[in-house]
Amino acid sequence: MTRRTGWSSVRGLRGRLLATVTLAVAAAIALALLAFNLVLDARLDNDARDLARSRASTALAGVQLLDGRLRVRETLDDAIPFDRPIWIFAADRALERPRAPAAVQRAAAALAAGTTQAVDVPGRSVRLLVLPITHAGRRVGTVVAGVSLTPYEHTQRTVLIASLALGALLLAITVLAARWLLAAGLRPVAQMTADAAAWSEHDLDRRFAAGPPHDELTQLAATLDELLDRLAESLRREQRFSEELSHELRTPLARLRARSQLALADDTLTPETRTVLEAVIRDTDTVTRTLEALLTAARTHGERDASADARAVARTVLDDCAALAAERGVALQLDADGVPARVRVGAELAERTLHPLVENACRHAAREVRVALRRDPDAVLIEVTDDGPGVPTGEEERIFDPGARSPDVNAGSAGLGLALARRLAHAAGGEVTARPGPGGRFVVRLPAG
Amino acid sequence: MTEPRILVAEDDLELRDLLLSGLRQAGFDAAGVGNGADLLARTASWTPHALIVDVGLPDADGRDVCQALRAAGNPVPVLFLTARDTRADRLAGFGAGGDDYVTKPFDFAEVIARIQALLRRADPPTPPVGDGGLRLDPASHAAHLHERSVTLTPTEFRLLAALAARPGEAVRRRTLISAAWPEGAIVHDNTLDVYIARLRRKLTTLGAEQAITNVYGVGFTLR
Repeated sequence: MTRRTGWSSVRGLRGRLLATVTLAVAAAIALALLAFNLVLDARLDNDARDLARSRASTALAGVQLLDGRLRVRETLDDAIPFDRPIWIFAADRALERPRAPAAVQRAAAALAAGTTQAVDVPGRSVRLLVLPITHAGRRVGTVVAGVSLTPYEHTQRTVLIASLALGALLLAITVLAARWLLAAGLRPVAQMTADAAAWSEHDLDRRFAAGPPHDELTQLAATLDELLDRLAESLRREQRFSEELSHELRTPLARLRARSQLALADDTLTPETRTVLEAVIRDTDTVTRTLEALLTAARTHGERDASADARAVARTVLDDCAALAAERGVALQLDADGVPARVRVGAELAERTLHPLVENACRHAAREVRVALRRDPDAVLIEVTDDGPGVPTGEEERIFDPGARSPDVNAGSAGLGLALARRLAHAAGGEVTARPGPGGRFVVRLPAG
Repeated sequence: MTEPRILVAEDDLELRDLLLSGLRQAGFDAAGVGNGADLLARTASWTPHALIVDVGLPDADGRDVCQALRAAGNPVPVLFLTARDTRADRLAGFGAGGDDYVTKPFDFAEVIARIQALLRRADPPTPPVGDGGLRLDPASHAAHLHERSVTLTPTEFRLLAALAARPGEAVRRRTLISAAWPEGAIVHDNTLDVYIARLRRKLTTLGAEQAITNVYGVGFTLR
């Protein structure tokens, strides 16, 4: 679980960094393309104007002013190529008029009459430029030169498309490179996160030991090492505490049990006293078992290479509970045929996990307790069912709280059994859950080995 | 026929008394001591048929006491009573020359059955044979010879005791390591050699007639 969080946060970071890089590069490319195209437009615009002006000047050379009247020389037709439209107006009368669409003709006439210097005819891709003919400070006529804008527009379009394609290609290359770089840069982080998570579960002695921190990665390694140190230390403390606790409690428990046993040897005891003493011995054994189970859980944390056969575990537990079952008139059943059932848990821990559940089932069952083994892809499930009243709906989690007990139990139970089973299962990297009825249903899930 | 004599070493007075009562009810002649030094003294003077020894005695580790007994040539059956139940602890008990163990809290019937089993297998107690006068003190981890004595580290003590328990016999390296080091400890051959070398020096200091000799391919002998 911890491992997954580590991975996804690293991937999330990678995604965010990649998005940032992509946006920044895309914005830069867009700005560059915009600027380039604007400059190009301006340049083309100038070229078109110059061309028109030079044509107008050429045409002007073919105009003569005789007696204050404009005349077009005969040679003009030779000087001006056929496809280059030139208008020559005297005042608003056209002396020379090329063949052109009506809209262009109108625009040329409007220019001759007005003061505008140049105009683009809408929808016709033609630019018209005005060159006034003046004589003695008076405007006597007008030359209007037309330039087709089609080649310029074509160039513009081609350049725009090409630059967009280039920009897209550049962006794609940048994104791919950034993705590769980020993955390469963050791969050690992901690897370290996964390692630290795995070590914290199975191998608390392992460290990165990357030396004194000199960059982000060694800093991370040092921090993770420190955390693992602290984790190992707290685990050691827990183990030491459990050892001491168990050690301190064993001698008084031994006294309690020995005293009760010695007292029972007296033949003159009343049956009542005998029952009480027997109950004291049973309770002593329960306390001892609980103590041992807690110790097992503390000791086996991080235990590697443990393995057991779940069938043998179930059989041992059923044998242990046979006396209780017989006392309560409950039949014990084991369904474990043909299930490959190796678990990656020590036999002792597995038995101590299952024991409280079978015991609990024996206390609640009407006639029968059934233990069945099933196999998941990565786990062995041990299902304990009984034909008793079952776990009330909504109580499936609460019953695992330490001290929680079922209201209808008519026999003594420590109230720690289920909580203990769950604690042990967690120590084994497994889980214990209660399922809704009918009847009691508990499932122990242990990692398959 | 006299009843078998059982000596109980347990520092918890109440538990010791309970054990003694239980043993007497079962028909044994039982006596109790509260520490390792008394255990050694009482074993020598009373020659019990079997010992029940708490591992956690106030002055010494019960396993070291057992090793001292074995080193002195005493084969009396020893049943360890222990509040520790890890595999390493149990194996250490056997490595120290113990014959059986029971964890606290115990079942009386079980303790008695185990003691009876030990007695069936054991030879009748004999006063310890002389072994050149070397005496091991489990409380101070010292070795005494006549008036001289040297202090040993716990590991040296356990090694010497394991060798002294079988004088003249070649004791295997494996046996020595399991007697002197906790289960699972990584002990290289040269580590053992270093300890043996130290022990040899200390035996010389002591002026002992015995010396540790190398039995190639097997282990070591004290003769």
